[in-house]
Amino acid sequence: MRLFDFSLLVGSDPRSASDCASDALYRYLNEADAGGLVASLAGAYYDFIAGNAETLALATADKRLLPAFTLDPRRVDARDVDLKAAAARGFQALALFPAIQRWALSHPALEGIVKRAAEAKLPIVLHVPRSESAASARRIAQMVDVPVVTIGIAYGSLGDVVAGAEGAPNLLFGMSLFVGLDNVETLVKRVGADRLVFDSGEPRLSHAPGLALLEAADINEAQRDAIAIGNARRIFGGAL
Amino acid sequence: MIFDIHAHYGQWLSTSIPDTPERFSALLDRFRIDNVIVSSGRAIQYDICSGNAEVADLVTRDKRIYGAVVVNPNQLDESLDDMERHSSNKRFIAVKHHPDYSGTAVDSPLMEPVLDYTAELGLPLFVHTWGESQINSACAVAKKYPELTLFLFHMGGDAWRLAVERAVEYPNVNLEFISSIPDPERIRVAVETLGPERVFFGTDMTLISPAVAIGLMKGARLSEADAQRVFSLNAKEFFHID
Repeated sequence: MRLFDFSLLVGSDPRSASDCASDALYRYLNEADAGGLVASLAGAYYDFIAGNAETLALATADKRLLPAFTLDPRRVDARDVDLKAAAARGFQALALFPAIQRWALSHPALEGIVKRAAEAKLPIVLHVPRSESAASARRIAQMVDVPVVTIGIAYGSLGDVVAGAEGAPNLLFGMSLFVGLDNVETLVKRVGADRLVFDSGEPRLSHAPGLALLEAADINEAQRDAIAIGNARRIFGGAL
Repeated sequence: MIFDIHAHYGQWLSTSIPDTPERFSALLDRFRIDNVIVSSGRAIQYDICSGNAEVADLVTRDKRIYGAVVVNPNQLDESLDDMERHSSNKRFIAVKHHPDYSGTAVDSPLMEPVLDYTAELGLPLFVHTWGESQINSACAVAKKYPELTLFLFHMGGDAWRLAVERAVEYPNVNLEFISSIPDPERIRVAVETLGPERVFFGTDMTLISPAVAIGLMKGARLSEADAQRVFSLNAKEFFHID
């Protein structure tokens, strides 16, 4: 495996005609020699309980996949979910979808959720809107001692990200939407390659531009490898 | 071979390294871009005259580089003057309009003098399009000016399916595909629906890394022949550049 993808989203997407089925995912994994953190879109769009069951089944069927548990803080029963039990069942991270579910990182239930994830030693992956403030993500990261990965902040927020990355060494960023010229180089220089991860949104979105961006970046091979898979190995340890 | 019809020269919020002619040419070398049509970032974001003048200088320094005159109906006299001035320079081969930065839809009555003159000059019109409204505005212009060729830059962004549908209605509308949202279907569907002759390669550099557009093409899984059409042949034929 040469690539670990922090954003694999499988199922059905009511807002897109893209093929998000598992066959499309496996095609990507085979072609790119990749693995990744997977979550069912059913958990993001519809019902996190059903979604988590689907996610676990996907990961059980293919060892290249690590399952991400999800909750929807808009549901009152999200407060009752035992994340330590989820970790014991094999979930390797907690993925949250404020972008899809349209809630802000200031949601009152979020602090309790992330602290329980930290108690369960689950890294947290936040799928945020493109315009989300890195400062908001930093605030979340400063509440916990597990890695917090933000997926979805885009190139228009480069300055915001560089500033927001300060004071939260456990805050990492998916790099694929930093498509601006020299963005990856700038982030490696100012934030550090150890704080960037590869993310694509496959099979809903294409990995090809993000991978091309990573391969073309004017960084050294150790930095490139860290972003591609090294940081994932550090975060997930023996599970990977 | 790569012919990039959608590039910029100038500073952007999301980049921290200023453009220079030397750096721009080095980017063409690095990403193996054989020809490029450039509009001024300064002209789009700030002032068309000083921005267009920067590109007029840029095109003299590297024969791979061609220019698109940026227009802004809020600076109408300046727009028409710049169109006259720069179109006499055979290195300016298109007119560019950005509705967001100018705050003006391309089919606004304010744009009529510019559109009339663009048609008179026989130049194509490059229009930034993102979303349904901007697609429909561009198609309204295409309908009113059948002699004008419009290029819908970004092919409508996340509304790209609508852009493809509307382009079917208007043979004088072509699509350029660059987007930061890597929808895996956009290029393939455009090519299958319109034919490869009407889909053009653009990078949006120096705002966006050219690696993104190259990656999008790789992900589109076009045939070799169709890919070559999109990468370069369409633009070479349309603009009569070898």
